[in-house]
Amino acid sequence: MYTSHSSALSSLILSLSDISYVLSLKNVELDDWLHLAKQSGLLATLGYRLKEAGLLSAVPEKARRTILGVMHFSDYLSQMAQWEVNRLQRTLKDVNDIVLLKGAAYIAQKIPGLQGRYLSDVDILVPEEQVNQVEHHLLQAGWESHKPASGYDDYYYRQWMHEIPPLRHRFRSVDVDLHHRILPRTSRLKPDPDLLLSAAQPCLKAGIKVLSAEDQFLHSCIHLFYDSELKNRLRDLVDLDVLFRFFSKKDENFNQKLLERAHQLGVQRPLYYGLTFTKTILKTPIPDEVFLSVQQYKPNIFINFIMSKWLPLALLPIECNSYLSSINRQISIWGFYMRSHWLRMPPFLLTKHLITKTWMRLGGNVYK
Amino acid sequence: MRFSDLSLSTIHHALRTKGVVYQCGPFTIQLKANIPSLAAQIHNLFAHYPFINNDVLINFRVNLVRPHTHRYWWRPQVQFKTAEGDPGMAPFPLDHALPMLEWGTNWCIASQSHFYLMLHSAVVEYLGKGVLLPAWPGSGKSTLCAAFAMRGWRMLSDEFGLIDLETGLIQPLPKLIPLKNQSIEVIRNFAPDAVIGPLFTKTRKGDVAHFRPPLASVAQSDIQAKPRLVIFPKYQPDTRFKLIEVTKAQALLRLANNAFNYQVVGKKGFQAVKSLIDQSSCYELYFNDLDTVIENLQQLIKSLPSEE
Repeated sequence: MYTSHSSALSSLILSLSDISYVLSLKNVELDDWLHLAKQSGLLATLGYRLKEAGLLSAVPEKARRTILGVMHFSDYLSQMAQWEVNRLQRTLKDVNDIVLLKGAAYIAQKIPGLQGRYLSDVDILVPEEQVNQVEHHLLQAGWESHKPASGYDDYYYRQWMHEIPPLRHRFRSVDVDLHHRILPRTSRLKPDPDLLLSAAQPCLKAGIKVLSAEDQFLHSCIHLFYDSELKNRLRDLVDLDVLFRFFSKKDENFNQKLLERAHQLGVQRPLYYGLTFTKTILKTPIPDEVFLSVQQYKPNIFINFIMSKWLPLALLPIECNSYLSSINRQISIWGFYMRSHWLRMPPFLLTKHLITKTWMRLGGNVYK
Repeated sequence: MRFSDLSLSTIHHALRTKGVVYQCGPFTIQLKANIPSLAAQIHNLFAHYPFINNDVLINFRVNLVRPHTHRYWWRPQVQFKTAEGDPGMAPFPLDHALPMLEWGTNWCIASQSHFYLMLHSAVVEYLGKGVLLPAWPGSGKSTLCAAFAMRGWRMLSDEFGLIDLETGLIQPLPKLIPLKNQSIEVIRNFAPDAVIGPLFTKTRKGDVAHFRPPLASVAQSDIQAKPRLVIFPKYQPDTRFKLIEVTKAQALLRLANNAFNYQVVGKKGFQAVKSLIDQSSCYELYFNDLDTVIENLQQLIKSLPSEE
């Protein structure tokens, strides 16, 4: 199905399942691989996999230096994120357990295969009734919001979104996203945040909780397929691949729990997409019986056709070498961008929001 | 093969089609641009850079493009695009393509070369002894660097003190030196045979003209230098020459705080600066006359023990 893409993309995908493949790349192939891996935000992750396998020193010198450079940068980001978590812990020690989501949670669990993953913010989940209290504590301790308190963006976040406007400490560079659910209030899907919170578990890091294994996987599916623009998101698919391998190795009942939990949270469709695309694109070893049992959550034949044909085009870092293929990719990116908004909000609200944003961009004032 | 071995039309053709690939220090840069005036400037100023026409690993892919809007025709502009990210540079006037290229590539280097500790410093070498001249913009380090280069010192860089985190040595990066405002005249008078590009007026840093690094410096740009001297220069109109010793502890802090990526490289960066300072004598320099500086520093370097 995905045979039409470039050789650089094939190399990148092959190296994701077998890191030693990198050593077989010569000159231009290696250059193209390096370039695409970097553009996809996967080079540091692949660098760590090379290092783990003891292969980094076998990579040609110039490539090795480039890889080490991005690894240093990702180490820095990871350290900044961990420091932010440490500061959050100190500030919120009397208020609440800290439940980490996504990247910061993967770092806290030291998930092998995801070391070197880029992250620019720390996402935490708190019960909705505690959002104000937590926000108050953070503001007291030096965090600030980027959005003016009475502006439209602030209103928009608080009224419709799953998080409040990003907070950043005035002396640091990492955003803290304070979530009270994992999808916008107005979203078509409504996984119950209380279920997620009550299943949250301690991790390697004392005083820190993360979502249960199933919930982490489902959240990652939801985030990718229901809450993103899907443009160049191969690295999100890699998250899913690694999480699946990691959790199913750790717990033999993971697959079963995953299906049950998807049903309980009402997020079967994102799970279907997550398993389908990791299996078809990254060859994730998803057992046949699991794959078969999610087939019932497939969308109708028309949507399924569109998703399977156009989604990889938007999601994968495809370099278009003809005008026609470039147009085709642009359309798919635009289409999925529209879809992400469509899934986020009912049409009336979406229209109102887009008109307001356009008006603001033209320099108009918005009084709510 | 160097750019000086090529004809202007070859360069222009390559710029317009598959791009020219040039080597500047450790970096291989691919440049595409359909701007005739730029081809001539590159032909002159990049003359000593190796021109690469086989398949090699490319660090930065740069594209200078003209916007397809009314700004293609009316008060035409140029934009800096690179596959490595978005430097967030506003468009420049079309005839300022060269300054845009130089500043844009600085961004590429500073934002993605974390294999090195990047000090904000000029670097030169005399008698095999590396001299770092760390300073904020406006202290005269570019002027000094060009002046040293014209008196037979090896020029390593006017802006980036790249410390190799594995060897602890200084990696040359002989980029063009953007001389600013009065410095342009100063260097023209100091060394009439210096090759200096066209004057670009009213850039964001005032008037700028680019100094071409000498062939000898470019040709040795894969030889790393051993740091021996750290000098914090400051142009001071009423001081002919004054050298004040700086304690190592203070020099370390000043050097580290002036780096582009000290936080990013973390512990390795600290170790690199520490060993650099351990091997170096450190001074503050106040000056208003280039010849005096060069004479005195040559004496100082000759007096340094050959190996500590």
